[in-house]
Amino acid sequence: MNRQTPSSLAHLRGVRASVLRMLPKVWPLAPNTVDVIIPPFSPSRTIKFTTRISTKVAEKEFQTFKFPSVFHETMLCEVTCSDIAVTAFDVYIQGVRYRLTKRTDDVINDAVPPSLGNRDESVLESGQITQFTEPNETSLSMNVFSHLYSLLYPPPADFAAEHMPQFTDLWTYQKTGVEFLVEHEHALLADDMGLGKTAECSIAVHVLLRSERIRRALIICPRAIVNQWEQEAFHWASMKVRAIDGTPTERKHIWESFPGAIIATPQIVMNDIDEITKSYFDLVVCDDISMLKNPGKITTAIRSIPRSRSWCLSGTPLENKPEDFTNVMQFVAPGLFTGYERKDAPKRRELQTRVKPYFLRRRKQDVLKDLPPKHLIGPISIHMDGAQWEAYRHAERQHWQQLQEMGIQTTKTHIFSRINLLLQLCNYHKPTGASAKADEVSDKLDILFDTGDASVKVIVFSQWVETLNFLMSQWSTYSPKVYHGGLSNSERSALLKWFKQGDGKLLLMSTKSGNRGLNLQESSYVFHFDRTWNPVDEMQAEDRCWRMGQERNVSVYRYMQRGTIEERINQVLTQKKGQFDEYVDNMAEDTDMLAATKWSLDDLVTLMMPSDKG
Amino acid sequence: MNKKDNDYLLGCFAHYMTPQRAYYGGILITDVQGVPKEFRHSEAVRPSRLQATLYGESLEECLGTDALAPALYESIRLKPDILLIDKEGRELFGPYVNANAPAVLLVPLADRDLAFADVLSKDSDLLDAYDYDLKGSTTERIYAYINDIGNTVTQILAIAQKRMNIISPFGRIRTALAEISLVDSGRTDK
Repeated sequence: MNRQTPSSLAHLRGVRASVLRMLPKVWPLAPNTVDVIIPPFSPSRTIKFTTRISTKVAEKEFQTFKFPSVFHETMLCEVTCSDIAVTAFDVYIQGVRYRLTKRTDDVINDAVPPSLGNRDESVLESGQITQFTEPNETSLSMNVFSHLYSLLYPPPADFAAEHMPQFTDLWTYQKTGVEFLVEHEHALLADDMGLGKTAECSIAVHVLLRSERIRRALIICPRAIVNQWEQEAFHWASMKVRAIDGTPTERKHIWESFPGAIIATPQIVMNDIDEITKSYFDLVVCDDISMLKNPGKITTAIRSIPRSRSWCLSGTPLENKPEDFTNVMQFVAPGLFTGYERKDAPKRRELQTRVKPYFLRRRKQDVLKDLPPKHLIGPISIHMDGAQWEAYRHAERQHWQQLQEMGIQTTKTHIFSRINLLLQLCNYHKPTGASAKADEVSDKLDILFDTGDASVKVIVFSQWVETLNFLMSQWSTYSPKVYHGGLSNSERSALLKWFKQGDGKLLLMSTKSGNRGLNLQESSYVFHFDRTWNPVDEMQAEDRCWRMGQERNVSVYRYMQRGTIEERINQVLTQKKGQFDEYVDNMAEDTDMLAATKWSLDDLVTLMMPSDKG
Repeated sequence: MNKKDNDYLLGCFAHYMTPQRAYYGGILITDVQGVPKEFRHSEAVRPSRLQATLYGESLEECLGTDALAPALYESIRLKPDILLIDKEGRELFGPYVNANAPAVLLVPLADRDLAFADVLSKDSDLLDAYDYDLKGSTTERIYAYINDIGNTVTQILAIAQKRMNIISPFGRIRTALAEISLVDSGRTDK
């Protein structure tokens, strides 16, 4: 198809290349085009759309051209390098010098120094990864061509509709969610619990894999929902995901070479992080943010996974304090918040402004108008008596006395351990088996199960497995089973199948193990046998039932023992919950107030103080 | 042909003209699912007043056929199995594409009777014309004027129309070119 171009207009043709990356089946399309990592710009240094950016070439063989323009905060630059040994050159942005260097690692950590001496040709030839760095400045990973790149792709909805029949079954807001994920390299999908985040994410991952925009995806989720993830991915996207298991050698093989989507638990990621960092993932999804909010080994490991896309799914992006949020964002968009801001979060508006481009949240009441209501009943005040009450009063005085004797040496840990003992005593008295709460709930269960409605299924949550085992023995008439963190994956699956599809009608569930990610719409009655320290845990637990697909009204019962520490904790939780609603639904409406509700030592001492029973 | 169905490549030409009459040309190479494989675009071409006067009505044809299309085609590394243009690209790229079979002009069914005399014939013979569904939808249909060699186009289009909306890449190219023009204007407006 060669054709001569004799026209005098021929001199006008200047063809330039844009990069389409991560297309494994074709040649490197523009090996001289680089992805550039530019630092986050503070408001005082925001690059305007028309800002001219000058370059200073450090090596004479190193040529630059078409340099550069910006899409808002994204810089479009194209570099031709005739000498592969060139490792760095400088770019001036509004007078501030940035050094463009080849990178040795693919992860942007807080203080990763550029390796100027790296001469690995493959990095420049095929990796197309470079970064701007500046001393003492964190970097934000951005693909400068992602904007053009996504424009050239078939719209995610079209592609999904074409290749995934299940896509048409999604609600409109879910299709929007799929598009949001596909079009964002850094995304926090914070829809309410039960709106179908897993389905949306499954389809989005499959769209990216199928359209060859990514090659490997890693999904990190709590062990309790690994099976569910596998099932939902297959159901919604006909996508087979590989759960990481086996011996370290087997896992190493998977980390090294398995293409497509794989699932791992945070614990496995932490254990295998040395192997993981030797490979590369185009996408890492964190389903559940509790693994990211606290600086620790798991958080550090997850953040260090080499990746180009980072998504997070959570119905409760803020669990206790605004710093949770900034820590989560360090995974989603590294460098968005400084190290200091992850310890002391910015004010609401500042936080909101920065997070907004990466954030999507829809609430049930806004998008699922046909969802039956959730009725919150209680906390129902129960009167303890007999041996249980005597034991409680005795323990309360005894612990108080011990704390007073410890004086200033008292720590939060000391108090927490004693409070937990008292709370367990509120549940039941071990020597006698007395439990006012169990008697109360038992009466309610009798009424529910005696209606003759075979579809009635009930979940009882408690923080303590010991309590759940006690309840199992108390309510053996209903043949309950206990779901807790000590069960294997297969045991969990079998138990859930028994409850969801079999004849199971009473499930006793550990709050910590069962409150995230599971779909339990088969049940419409939830009992919180005891209260959690964090109201988010309770909300998450209730919303296992109150979610898309629920056709009946959901009733949630809460209990507390009158005149005990449960009553005092409830007062604080009520206040905390109100602040949480305001903060999350309005994207951090009152950061400072929420921060103040952390449990202080004084708070805990006040909780411990024995009360006089009326 | 020894290629598997998924290995066929489509090359779509499209252009975007800015309000200041600067022309950007682009070629997008996709597979039969519409997944982009390579994209090249031109710098802005701004014909001078003298050139506009000299070329008159054939300015766009010269721009496309003599400058943009061959330059774009030469620059791509993945050579497509067929070239495609749509109604909007007919003026600029029609003669070039028509001279380089296998090629196809896609138009909405409603426009099939419009005069496309310049690109509908090859050596005075009318091109083959076929009616295609878009993604199997009988309500969305396009007409394809085909300049074929050995039945290649009909074979590839038959595969592609089941897997993608074969008219949609043109719109995407124009969107990308418009964005590029904005970037350029941002740079040059300084």
